[in-house]
Amino acid sequence: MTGNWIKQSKDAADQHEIKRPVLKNCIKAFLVGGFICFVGQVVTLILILFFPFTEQTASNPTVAIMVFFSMLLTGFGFYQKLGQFAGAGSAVPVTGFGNAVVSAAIEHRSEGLVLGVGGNIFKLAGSVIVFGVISAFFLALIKTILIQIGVI
Amino acid sequence: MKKFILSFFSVILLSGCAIFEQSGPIHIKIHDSENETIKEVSQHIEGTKELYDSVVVAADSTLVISYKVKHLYRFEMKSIEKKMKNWLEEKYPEKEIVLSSDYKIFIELFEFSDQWNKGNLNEKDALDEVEKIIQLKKEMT
Repeated sequence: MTGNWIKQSKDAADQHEIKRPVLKNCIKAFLVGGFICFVGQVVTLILILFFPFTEQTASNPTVAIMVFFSMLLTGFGFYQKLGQFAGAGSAVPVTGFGNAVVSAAIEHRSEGLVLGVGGNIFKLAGSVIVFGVISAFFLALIKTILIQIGVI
Repeated sequence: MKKFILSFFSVILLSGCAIFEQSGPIHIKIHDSENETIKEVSQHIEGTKELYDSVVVAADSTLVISYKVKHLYRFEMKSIEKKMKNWLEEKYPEKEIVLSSDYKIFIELFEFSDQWNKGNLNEKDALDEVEKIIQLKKEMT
């Protein structure tokens, strides 16, 4: 009896639920994410053309500059709008990292500088750092072992 | 305003095409004894279908080569470089060989060739300049 009731109410809820526009969201994310990568490519090109960076060494400063850009945009309040429109398209590139850091800092500003901003600034981005460091450690370990054995 | 933004972005987009522009194969010999080397290397590069633009600088002790890889073959860049390196090392075992597909190295070598052809550099300056480019290529971070 109860099972039937649950099924009935679930069906009724499903009828009124708005369907998620998955394809549209994907296209939006693709376009905005691609645009962010395009800006990154322009930054790389500028670094190569006007500064003494090669293609190989230009990637690190490019990442730093892109994170800096997204931090500025978050501070001025533009990145939230972009995130609402594009979803994962704005969160997956490295710019999402800057957004996560600064938005957490802004959110907890009212709790004071030390316990508020200092304690919460890496609330969202902390997991990126932790798992980034851990996976880098294990990858380096594997590479070292492989080199020692003589595979690479 | 819309027109301005559109033209701004199209200028930026189209300026990206400059990377793929062919500046023509350039051959520079710092010492006259390297005529033969230059000829052989440039013939080999022309015979490789994956490459389309190159700068070859040959001195007594070093051989610096920069090339551009056609876009469709960029996935095989590592194997192309390995093949070239093996060929060069077999052919010129007594030389220090520097091989690069990096765009920055290409620009630097191109500028160097400009200076050299204008006659602004003597032999010592040229070797210093080449050494600088080699250092840039070896930089990792």
